Amino acid sequence: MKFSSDDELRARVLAEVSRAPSPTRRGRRRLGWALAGSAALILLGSLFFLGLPPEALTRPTSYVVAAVASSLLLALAASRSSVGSPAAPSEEGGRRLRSAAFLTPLGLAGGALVANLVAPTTWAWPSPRLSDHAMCLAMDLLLSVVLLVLASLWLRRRDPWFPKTRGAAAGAAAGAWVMLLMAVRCPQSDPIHVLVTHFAPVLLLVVLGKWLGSRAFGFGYRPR
Amino acid sequence: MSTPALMSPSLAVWTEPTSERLRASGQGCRVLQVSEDSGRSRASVAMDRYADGDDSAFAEVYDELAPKMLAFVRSMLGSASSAEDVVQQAFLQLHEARGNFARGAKVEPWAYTIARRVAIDWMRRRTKRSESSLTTDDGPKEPVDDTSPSPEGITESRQLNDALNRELKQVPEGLRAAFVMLRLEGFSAAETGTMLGVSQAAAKVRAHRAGQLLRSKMARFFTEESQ
Repeated sequence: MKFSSDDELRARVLAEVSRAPSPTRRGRRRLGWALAGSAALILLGSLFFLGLPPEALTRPTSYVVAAVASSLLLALAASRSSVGSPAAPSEEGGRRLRSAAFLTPLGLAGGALVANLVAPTTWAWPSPRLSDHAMCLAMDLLLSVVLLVLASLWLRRRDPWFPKTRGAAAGAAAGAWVMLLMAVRCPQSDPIHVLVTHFAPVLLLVVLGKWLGSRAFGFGYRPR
Repeated sequence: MSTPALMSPSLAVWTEPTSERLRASGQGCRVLQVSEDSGRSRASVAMDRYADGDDSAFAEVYDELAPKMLAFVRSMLGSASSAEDVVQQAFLQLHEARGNFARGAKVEPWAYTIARRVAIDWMRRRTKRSESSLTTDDGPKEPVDDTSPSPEGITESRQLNDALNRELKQVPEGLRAAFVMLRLEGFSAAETGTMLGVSQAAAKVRAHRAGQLLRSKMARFFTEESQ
């Protein structure tokens, strides 16, 4: 095998770098705003498309899910230290991410179930029509995957320290926000319905996010 | 032949041929130099400029980081040619992710962690691909230090290098990385912990355990040699 000199390696790296432009901070910021806008449009558009019952915003489930989903976003933002803040990556950032990724789904499930049991708002308990459940499940899965894909474009090659955990947290965030959307409009309070069609997708998204994170958020050897 | 202390300067010569060579040529002297105004390394300041879109700063980042990074990856992989491949990949990915570099951050932990991840991935792929992953180097050997006084000395030194290389490769990756960073590359325990994603104390423990493992393996080597 041929040995290259350090100068050759340097020339090779510089040539490759000049051939493949990469986004600067400004480019990343623009991308971030575009993705956030797209995510908001998709969520609001879906809500418009699916329809919003007049009493939707008074449902306790919505408050629970909104609280947990917001706290999850805050936790993700607070874990910035794991992506190279001036203070350098810290275990604290990793801990926040782990809490966000693994405690949030549990919080969501528990909170939503208790809220529905304490103050049931259902019109049909449970709905006899399978299509009602299937619709909720399908919309939950579809929208969460779309949100996760948008998030992964933003988080790509972002975190060499905790890529899997960050992926799981992003999956939980995507699932939680879609769960909020669906909880706002879904008229059913049946615990089985909530668990199977609204909560199970969040768990699935956590697993999917972890898988995606290991491949897209971190760094690895990519033969050319 | 007696068993040498593993932390002796001769070990640094063994593990850092690339950086030694670069130091000799004057390039290595710039590694991790600290800029006077901000207290951050020049590489970190240059990386900030590069992340903001100053393309010319990449060469500076490369010149500051590459020699040490090459030595670090080489000590992880035990092969100069593979180390070059991995370092090239690491720099390309650092370039690709430049927009994610936080303003005011230190570039060294970030860059070394990327290099380590790429190296680990490279080793995984090689293990999958090749059943002979435990064989020795896949390229020609680095030239031996000219200060060796005699042909016998050169031979002994080469044998020792080979043995150490072989044994270090057998040490679990997490322990090996801590050992290389803390004992050979001169990073602090905090920096090593940061790069490995563990606490400062855990980094020290890992390096210590790697040292113990190496010591016992090399003791066996010298016993076999003397028989």
